[in-house]
Amino acid sequence: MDTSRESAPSPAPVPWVVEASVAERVVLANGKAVGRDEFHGWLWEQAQGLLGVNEGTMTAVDAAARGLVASPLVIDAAAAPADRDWVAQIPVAAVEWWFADEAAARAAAALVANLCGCEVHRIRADESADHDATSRAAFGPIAVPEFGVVRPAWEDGVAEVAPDGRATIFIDPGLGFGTGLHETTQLCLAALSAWHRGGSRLGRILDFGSGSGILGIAAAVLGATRVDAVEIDHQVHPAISANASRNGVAERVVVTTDLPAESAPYDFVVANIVATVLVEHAAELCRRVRADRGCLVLSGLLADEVPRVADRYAAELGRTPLIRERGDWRCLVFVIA
Amino acid sequence: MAKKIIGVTRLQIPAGQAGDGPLVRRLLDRQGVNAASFCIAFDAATAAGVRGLIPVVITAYEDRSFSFVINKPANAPGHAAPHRPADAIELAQA
Repeated sequence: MDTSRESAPSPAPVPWVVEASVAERVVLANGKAVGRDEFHGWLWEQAQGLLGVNEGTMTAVDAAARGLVASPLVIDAAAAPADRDWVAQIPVAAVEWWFADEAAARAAAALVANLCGCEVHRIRADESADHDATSRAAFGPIAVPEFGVVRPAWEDGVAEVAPDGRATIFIDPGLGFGTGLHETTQLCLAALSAWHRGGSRLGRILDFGSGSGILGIAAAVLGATRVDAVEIDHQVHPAISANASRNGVAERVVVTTDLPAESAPYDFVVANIVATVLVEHAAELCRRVRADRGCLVLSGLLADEVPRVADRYAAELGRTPLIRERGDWRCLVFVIA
Repeated sequence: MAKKIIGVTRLQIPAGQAGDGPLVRRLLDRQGVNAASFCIAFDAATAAGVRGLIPVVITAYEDRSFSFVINKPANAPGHAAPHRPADAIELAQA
């Protein structure tokens, strides 16, 4: 028995944040006045352990209120134009410098103290829930209720299903959305597990919006014979394949950018995306589910998005969904029998 | 497809080292943007060329997709990357 998996994971270091305001020009100790970008570049060279600079977010509503755009209803037809640098147009910007540790943050704060055009307001540890989540995703096994355990890819062990139906799979958390940590992913894994435990067939699976590939891979580990993992972002395709290989199911997981043109109906279709995309693909996804005995799972939904999506799919399928929930998130399960 | 903009986020992160760090994840999660996808794209776009902090402006859309523009680093005038828009990365949070 390999015991290394049972050892406690090392805690990830907590980043430290220096909050400051920075004017459009800052006078350095040598008397040279520099612009904001140049100031950050100077700090990067002078300070140790700088992870990055958060210069802030400006919503379209704020941009309109400041007169930077004519209306908060900003429509973009393609890529963001280079001149939409609304944040850079704030006269005195509230910035956050993120550091690897407390010593680095305090040293940097001392470095910029007394510089004209820059004022430090606060030095704090970032112990947000988000960070904790990131640490757990990076270091720890994630217990997923009803499903089993998602372990980091670099841990020892092989993917397996225990006699009680609990599965163990391995995912590289740095590659593509779907580490097993997010509620939307967990809801899908639980639905998949419930379908499997209920004795229903896990033959052909469609994982639409595959991300890291976690859902399709989980289905393959549970016994699916063929998984079509559809992911629009081709840059994460190698990650899906790597994750599939790590779980010993590479030969059963086929990764594509688009839905296969025509295919035999799927026993289980899962789409963990967003409401807009789900509504857009309603007819197509409904058509792909086996009409005699199939399951369609839709996730990535906040509570207030449920009616719009549920109504659209209910109209296609002629039945109402079972709704699973975790935190703010909802998952719709249509069982077709 | 024309899309409604939610907002823009301005960051400066080391070239090729966005990783999947807490700073990026934290900020983009708030905007509904998939941080891991952004990091992969940013690292790929900045893997070669200028070192140091790179200003990047990320636009978040109503459908939770995003695009970004990489700006020239201020402290590398002699060997700066061209001021060019990165390929638009459009990806729903999957």
